[in-house]
Amino acid sequence: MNHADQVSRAVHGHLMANYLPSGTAPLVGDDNLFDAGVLDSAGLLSLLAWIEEEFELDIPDDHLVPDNFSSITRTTSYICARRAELEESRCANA
Amino acid sequence: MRKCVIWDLDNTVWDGVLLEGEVTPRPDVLRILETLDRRGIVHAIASRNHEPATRAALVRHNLDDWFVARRINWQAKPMNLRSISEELRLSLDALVFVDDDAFERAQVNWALPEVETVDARDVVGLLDELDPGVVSAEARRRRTLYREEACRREAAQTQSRQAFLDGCGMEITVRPMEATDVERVLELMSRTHQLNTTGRIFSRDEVVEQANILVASLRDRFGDYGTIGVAISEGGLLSYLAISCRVMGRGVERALLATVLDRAALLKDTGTNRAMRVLYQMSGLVAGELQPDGTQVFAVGSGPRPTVPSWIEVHA
Repeated sequence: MNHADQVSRAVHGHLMANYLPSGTAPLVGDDNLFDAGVLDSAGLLSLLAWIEEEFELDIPDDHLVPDNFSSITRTTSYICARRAELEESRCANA
Repeated sequence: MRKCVIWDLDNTVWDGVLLEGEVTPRPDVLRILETLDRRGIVHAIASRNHEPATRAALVRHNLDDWFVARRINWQAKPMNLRSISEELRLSLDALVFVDDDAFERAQVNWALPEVETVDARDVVGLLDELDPGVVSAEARRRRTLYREEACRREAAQTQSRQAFLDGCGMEITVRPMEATDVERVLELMSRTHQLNTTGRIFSRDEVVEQANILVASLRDRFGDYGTIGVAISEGGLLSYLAISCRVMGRGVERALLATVLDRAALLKDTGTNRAMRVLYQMSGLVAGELQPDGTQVFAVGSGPRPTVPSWIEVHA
């Protein structure tokens, strides 16, 4: 299993466990989380806090756009890209 | 601002220890429960007790109806306080905790320093401390509103999210402010911190004189929330938007933004309103330059405009 799969499963599991009552039909990776009523602005804020802690990264305000967080697939891509970006800058500074 | 008092029971709400014999509700506490309730401050319970016996005693002494949330178990009080704050969607600094036991108070002070703790012997001071001044019709009904919310949550347990929201029959009405709305508008402006785009404080005169104030009310099949939002739109710019945090988590803020937004919207970072930045940016608005006064104008971009969620009907 590659890294993106692990991230995707973690995000999916976190949303199912914390944002939806038990017994809800599973989310699909490309579902729009806002149109499906899973997230709203306050919900996304707590998801961001979880991502920052779980994946040890910081999310600047200007990254808060639909392209990065509107679905599990997009959120996963964002997390992987952001981690890679931070890795690189750490190496560059070392 | 403190919005909820969380009470211990034994030797606090009532004299005596329930598991050791019969208890007597304290008359001074009853008076405080009633007075604060009228002011729109709600009450909850955090008690280390046997739940069935405790619930029976609450009903027997006609106390049960005063409380909008209950944690009657053997868990540590800080955990129960945190869980109540999540259930009621109140921040920790909106809570007051009353207990006769100094250890319990110290434990809360240590784990949750934002919560104010009060010795059960000193409760009479709450009457002076917790006086919001402005009391609207919504405030007097706040306990009922929270109890209706508990019914909604129970309904939500048995359906999928989308089906649940669709079945709620949410309707938002947006209309110009009238003279009878002024109290509630002032109250929303002063109580709303998380979903408040600028945090600007208005005086009563400013509200009365301000043209273009819109008020939004919400109802669903469980009941009527009354007025839950205030917006000011001037010359194409949405200069102020505040939405009660009671209605978070169901797309109401997106519906309101989609309804009242013309060309652009103002934001001022207050340290507590990041949710509004998220709302603007996730709705596709494009951030302008940060001004010296801390404000920022977000403009409608070339992409799609914000839309009302499919489960909400708007009358404007």
